[in-house]
Amino acid sequence: MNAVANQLSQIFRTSFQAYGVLAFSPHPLPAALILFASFYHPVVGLMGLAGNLVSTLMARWMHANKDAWQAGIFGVSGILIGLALGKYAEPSVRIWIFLIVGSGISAVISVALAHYFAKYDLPILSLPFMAVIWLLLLSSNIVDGSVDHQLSIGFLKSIDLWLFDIFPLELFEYLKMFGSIIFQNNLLSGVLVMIAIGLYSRISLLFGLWGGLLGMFTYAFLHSSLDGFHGLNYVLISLALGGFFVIANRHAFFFVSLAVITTGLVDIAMSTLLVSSHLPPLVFAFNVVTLLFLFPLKMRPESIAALRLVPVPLYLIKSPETNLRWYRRWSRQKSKQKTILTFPFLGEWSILQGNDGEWTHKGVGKYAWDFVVRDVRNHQSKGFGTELTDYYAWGLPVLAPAPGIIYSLENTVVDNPLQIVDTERNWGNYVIIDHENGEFSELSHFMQGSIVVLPGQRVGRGEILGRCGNSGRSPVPHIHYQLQTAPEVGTPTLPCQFGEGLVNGDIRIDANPKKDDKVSALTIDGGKSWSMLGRELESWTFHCHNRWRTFSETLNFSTDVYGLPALVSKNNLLWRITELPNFIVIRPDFKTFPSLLTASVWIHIVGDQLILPKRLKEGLSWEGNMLTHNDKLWCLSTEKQAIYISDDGTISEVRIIDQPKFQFSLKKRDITKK
Amino acid sequence: MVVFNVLSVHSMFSQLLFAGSSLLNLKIRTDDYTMTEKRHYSKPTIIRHTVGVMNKYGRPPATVPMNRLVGHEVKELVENYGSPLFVLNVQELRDNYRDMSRAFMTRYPKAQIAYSYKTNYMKAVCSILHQEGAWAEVVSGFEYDIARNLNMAGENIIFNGPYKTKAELMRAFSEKALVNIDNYDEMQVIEDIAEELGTVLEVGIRINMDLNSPPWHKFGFNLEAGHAFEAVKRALASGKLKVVGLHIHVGTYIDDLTIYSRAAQGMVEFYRYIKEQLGVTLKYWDMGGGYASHNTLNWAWLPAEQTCPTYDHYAETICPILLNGPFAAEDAPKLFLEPGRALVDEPFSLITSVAAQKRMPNGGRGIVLDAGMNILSSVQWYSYNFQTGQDSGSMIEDTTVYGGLCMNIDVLRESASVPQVRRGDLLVIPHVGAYNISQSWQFIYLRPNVIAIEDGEVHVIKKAETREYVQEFEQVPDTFTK
Repeated sequence: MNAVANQLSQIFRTSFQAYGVLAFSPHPLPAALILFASFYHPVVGLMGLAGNLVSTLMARWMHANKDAWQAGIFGVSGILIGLALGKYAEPSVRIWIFLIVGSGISAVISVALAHYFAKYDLPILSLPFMAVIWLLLLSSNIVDGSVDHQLSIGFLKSIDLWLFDIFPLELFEYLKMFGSIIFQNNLLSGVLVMIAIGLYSRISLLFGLWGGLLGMFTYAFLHSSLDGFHGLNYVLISLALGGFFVIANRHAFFFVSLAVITTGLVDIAMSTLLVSSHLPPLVFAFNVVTLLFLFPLKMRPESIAALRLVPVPLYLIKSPETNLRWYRRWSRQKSKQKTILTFPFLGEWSILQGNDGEWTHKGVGKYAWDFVVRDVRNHQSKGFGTELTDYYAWGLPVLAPAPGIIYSLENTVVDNPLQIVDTERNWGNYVIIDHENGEFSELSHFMQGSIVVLPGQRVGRGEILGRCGNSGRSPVPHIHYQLQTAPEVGTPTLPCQFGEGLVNGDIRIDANPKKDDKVSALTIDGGKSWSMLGRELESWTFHCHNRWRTFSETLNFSTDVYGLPALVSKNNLLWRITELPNFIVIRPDFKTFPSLLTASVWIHIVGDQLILPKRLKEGLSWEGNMLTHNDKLWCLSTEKQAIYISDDGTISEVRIIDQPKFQFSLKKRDITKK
Repeated sequence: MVVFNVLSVHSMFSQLLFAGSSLLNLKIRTDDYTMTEKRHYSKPTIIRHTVGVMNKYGRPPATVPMNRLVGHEVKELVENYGSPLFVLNVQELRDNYRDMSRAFMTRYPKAQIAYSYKTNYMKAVCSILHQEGAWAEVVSGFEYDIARNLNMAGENIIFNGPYKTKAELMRAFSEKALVNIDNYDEMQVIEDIAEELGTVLEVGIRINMDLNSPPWHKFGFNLEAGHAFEAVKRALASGKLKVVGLHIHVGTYIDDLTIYSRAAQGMVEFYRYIKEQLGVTLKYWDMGGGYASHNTLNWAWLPAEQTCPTYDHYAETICPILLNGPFAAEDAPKLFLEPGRALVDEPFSLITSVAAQKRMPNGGRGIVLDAGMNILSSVQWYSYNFQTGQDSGSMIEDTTVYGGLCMNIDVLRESASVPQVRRGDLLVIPHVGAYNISQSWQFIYLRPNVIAIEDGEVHVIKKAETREYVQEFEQVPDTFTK
């Protein structure tokens, strides 16, 4: 019984959703407003609803793609058939039969077309509707496409007429333009739909208004008057290309403008062509031009184009704003350095000069660091510091910050006496490591003859390269480090961060230390604890309760198609794992992520990424409570989380700041039960 | 020949000589002054007081008064807390730890200092070092208990020593302490414990090798004789033990860095050998202690300021050699260091009062202090420096310094450069933190206060003993008093 109720509610929800999809606003609130707007005349509204239910049920019966079905894609053509029949014919029993049959056929065409278009990842739009309505208009005499029977309830009609008298024609047409999306030629529906879209997305509204205005000008320019102007094609194409399918930006604006003008041409051309067959062009122009403009975007390498498509199945797009957020996050992720860096030394060092430093880290070389050792008195040397050997940094091991191949090195430059710099051979003794991902590390000022690696040699993370010296442009012994795009010395530096480390005693992920910060590599003793990674039989469950909803995600260890570690949730969403020496970073994989909603919820709650320590004590789980005595604890904090690590290196708590109800628990699945 | 201080006897004459003598540290020697018969006249000679030829690194002259300690007047401290008085400079202790930690941490990926409790296991001292991040190195159940009582987790305690009882070992293993095995009998006991606990226990093996003379062979299994290899083999053969650590202790007050380099080399070679032969993978290796402090040994040729290596010297000697071991950089075994003396010796000073000064039959000068060997046992090894606690003039004289015990052996130093101090004057003996307090004995006198000063604030970290305290556990049967 319950199952039936569930199914029914699912069907109604899906049908309801279809009203939002109609105006590229898939959300209950705009759906409700549009549904309401379609009931300008109750009978017509009812016909739309009936068509919607029929095509939705039919598509379900045909086992259409479940996600697409749930999104309400297959109800759209049904609604449109209902509304169009109501617009062009007096309702009668015959019309109702045509409606039922037509909606059924539209569902069949929708499923077929969706299947075919899925190959190209193109939307079916309202093509099934166009096919069916023309079929009906051509095959029977029930309706005449050239006659507009706009049914209406009396007093609403009179308000409309009254407003028609007050407003200038252009403004009147402009305001009711949105209503024409649902074949409502009245001001009330127009304004309602406009409000619906505006409530849902300001980007859509702006594009809709602009598209309508430009469409009006185009129409007036081509037709010399506004007679017969229907804004729907222009509004729809602006909504589709402006932010919904294409990420909203200035490129999209010009693209949409061109598409609107094209639509005007196609629409008027079609009207001319169809005059003889008494067929209305309806949304033909919108469908054709949208596909025409989307197809080339789908077919080109995205890395070179300013126009971005949302890389998820189109029926799962949520809103232009979500798209934009996604895009920003994705591009931020993409521009991040590929190499995970660790500090190129042992123990605690200080930053003598950071990024954009006051002496030499300027211009293209500004993303660099100079490291020195300072003692408890903050001196770089013992005694008076009159000898190079008095300096603590002198002779200390310098390590490879990441794995790679030694590209080139210099080992013969004589170390300068103190406070003297060699500006002839700026870089002194240096090592350049090729990280084999287009990024290169450059380390400078080694002690003469101290470098123990050879060009071509493969080095691992933390392997000793040589010893700190005072060669090149170096007044006191120090290490210079930079990440760069080319293997030659002096090439432009890349903005970069160290994967993890202790900065002034706090654990930092993506550490970007500043001048005078004390930094050291993070070494958490995992000898007595247990590693989280590589346990394919374990799953993690994240629970989050807030006032309105419970969000829970169970993630299982797996690998992605490239064999890299990844987490997979129950609905096969992929979460990417970045492995740092002591931590792992989990973030939704936006590239493959089919659901922007889940990712958004995740990001809202957890932040852009979830950072977990790699090693934990067995059987440990956390509640979102503060520790009462944390004076001996280190705290790792990123934007939204805190991880507490006790002095002996045992990770004791993961906490999400501001979300005290967040829970993270570690479950072990029993291998035998599986 | 009698020695006169011309500055006091011939005041006019002294006025003339004042400028020169105060600078050059002069004293004037004349012949006997008896006027009964005319004697041969010999002109006064001026002989320079000297404390031996010092170079630019030498210690400050004993005449410069050390009237302040850690920002406090020595005199006031004694008025408030009595004499003798141990004074701990907390910041210096912290700085020592941080300096040593820095020296090793910048040269070895995973270095950890475990403070050698036996050097000075006062709760306050251990707490400060634990606060800084030190682990505990203990050599008995008693010390182990101190560490646990200070809330050190068992897994942060290293348990060494040649004599550990079964109960102590049981406790250590059940609390996951790191235990280094000293001998086969102990190994047998640990195997029994493993059987009782029903688990394979992880242990370290203590080894010794031919490094110094006289040989330091008391602890662990000898490397050259093949005992060390046999011990590892035997431990693995039982199936109850897993060898995860190696421990060596090269001696005490070792200022010869070659000893450490040879020890480290020996460790690396031994590890390589047992890794190849027995498949042992180490989780830690422990270079023990023995690091010197700025105190001059009795038999040393040069003052400690010139001979004592810095923490960086030790680290530079040990770490690069260990890093050549048979492992990848990220799998380096944890390196433990067990300094005691090198951390706590210098931060402690002892303030003591002069009880008397006397002229010895050989014409030399002697002074008696209120502190004796009972609280300064390290005089067996160290030639302590005695600094005056107030302005005591500029004249220094070689002086025999006696402790206050009524024992002929209580000589703190046969010959020290001490200015003209009188009864009631204060002397400050720097660098007395190692062993003196933990080895002190209650004999004849009660043990004094120990205070710690940090940020200007004085804390009593150990109160002076009282008679009641000393006699607390004594009992006199009634029959003895009737």
